[in-house]
Amino acid sequence: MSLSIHNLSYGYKQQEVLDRIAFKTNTHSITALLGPNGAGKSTLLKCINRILPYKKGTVLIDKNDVAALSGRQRAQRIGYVSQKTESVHMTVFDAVLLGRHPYMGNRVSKKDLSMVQSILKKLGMEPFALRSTDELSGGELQKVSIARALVQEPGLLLLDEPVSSLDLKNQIEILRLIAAIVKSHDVNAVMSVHDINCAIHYADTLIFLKDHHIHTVCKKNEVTKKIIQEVYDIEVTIHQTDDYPVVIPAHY
Amino acid sequence: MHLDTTLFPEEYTRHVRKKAFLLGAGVILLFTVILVSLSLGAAVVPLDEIIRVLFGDSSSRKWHSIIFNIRLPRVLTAVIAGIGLSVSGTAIQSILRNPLGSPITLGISQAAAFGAALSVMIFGTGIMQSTGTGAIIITNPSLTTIFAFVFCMLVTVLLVGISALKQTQPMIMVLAGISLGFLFQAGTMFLQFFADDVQLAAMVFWTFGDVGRTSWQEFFIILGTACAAFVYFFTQRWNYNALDAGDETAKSLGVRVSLTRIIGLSCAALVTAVIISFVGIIGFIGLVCPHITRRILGDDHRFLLPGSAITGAIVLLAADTAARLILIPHVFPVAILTAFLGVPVFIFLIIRGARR
Repeated sequence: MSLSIHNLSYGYKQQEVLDRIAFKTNTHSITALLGPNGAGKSTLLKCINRILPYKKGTVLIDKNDVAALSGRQRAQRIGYVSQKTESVHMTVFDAVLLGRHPYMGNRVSKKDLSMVQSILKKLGMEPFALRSTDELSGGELQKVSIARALVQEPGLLLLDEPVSSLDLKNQIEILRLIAAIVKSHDVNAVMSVHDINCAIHYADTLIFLKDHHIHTVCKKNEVTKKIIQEVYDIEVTIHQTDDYPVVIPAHY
Repeated sequence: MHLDTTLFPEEYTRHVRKKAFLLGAGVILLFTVILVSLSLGAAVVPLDEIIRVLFGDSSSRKWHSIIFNIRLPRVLTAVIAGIGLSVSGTAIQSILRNPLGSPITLGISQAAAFGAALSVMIFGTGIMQSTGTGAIIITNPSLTTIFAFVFCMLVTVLLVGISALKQTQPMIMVLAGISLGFLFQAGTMFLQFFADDVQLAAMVFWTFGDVGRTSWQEFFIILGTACAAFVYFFTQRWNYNALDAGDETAKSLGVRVSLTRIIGLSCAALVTAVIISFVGIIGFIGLVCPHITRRILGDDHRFLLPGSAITGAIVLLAADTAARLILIPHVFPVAILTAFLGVPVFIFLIIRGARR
């Protein structure tokens, strides 16, 4: 599913948070949103999904205006993984089954159950399918959240800092998983990331946000010292290893 | 997504069956408690007589009159009030995203008490009498009920208004409800300060929740409201599950979060208002019965809502039966006993749950 954003602006009360944002992404691609805290990354993701009802600009997915879709139609096209996943006393299976809500309403069909079972198997979550989500580790809980978004059968996957709170192994596992899904399905992923090197490694396109504007849109090999220094106000050096540039702070 | 749609989740199906079985067991337990409650009292009715009376082939007019005129309205009121309060509490906890949510949190009980006190004060609907059942009689119970109900609705309208203004932020709703509760409590104390002995006694007496106050007609009003609310809440079971997963996740799943909150809140407030206006304040059921059920069945509203209904009915009925028995021939107010009976059970479950 392709995504194109034109002139999107959004503000809370008097404060402008997003100012005339515009970019396009295509299916089978991962786009990373980068930038300092408060630059508007999370707000942008929430606007794309109309969790925050923006008033200026348009968001199109496959030529459909997101604002014109009903909540249910939107949920059948866009999966959203929020920054914080709430855990309740409910099994992993039930928590993932919730992702079928946009399709099933209240009646759970055999197909819904099969799909949930299938995604749990795919993500290696079968062993704890019947464990309660309030007993899971951070990495497991994040997988629940991603699995829930995936059973929505989305064409666009929005992830708000999917790996920020995870250890190295889980970070890599989750990002590889997202990359694999995007490769093999008609899915387009947009995620906000703090780790620039993770973004360079896994994303096709990097979008740098600074002070509510898009600062730069570039491919991974086009990342320069200047961009990073302007966006993050910090001195860095860039080293070339194999195929990827690696960004390292100049002064620790 | 290419997902296999032929896989069959065997373990999960077993898990769901187990929960359904627990619900079934709960229903059986409830009917057992109903029979026991019908049988026990100042006069003990044998079990086989109860069955015969209920199916209309008893020859004994004495049993018939005890069951139909005295015990059945009381027992059924306890069951339905228990269901209504407990299910409302469950919904409120999800709507407010707060485990402390209950009809009390919304200020409804305090508003009802104020309304009743006002009616006692202005219309003098309470007088002192010495009868076998109680020293205080409310002379015009329907006027008192109407007053209590009107103030419940007033607090509901205020609360819904405030919630709508502030985009139904759960924290705002909780704070507004609790502060409105304090306002009405202060109002009641103001009236009590100026009340004479008899009025004061009537005001206090009204707040002792007692399921024995209802006639058949009043019972049917409670029944209708509670059933309608339960059906509504049950249709919202997946929406409440979504709310529990967080507002943003719920919105991304297509749930209209604010609307769900406003309607759910109004619905819960209406049922609570009807029940409390007719039977007095029984605050404890709405808080604790959902939590007892959560410990047993989990937070999935598909099972939690019917489960809470059953737990609420069982706890309130068992408490009321005990309340009738301990001071024969006097009837102890059930609101006091529900706490005596429910808190130990609740604390036991909290401790046991924490160890797991």
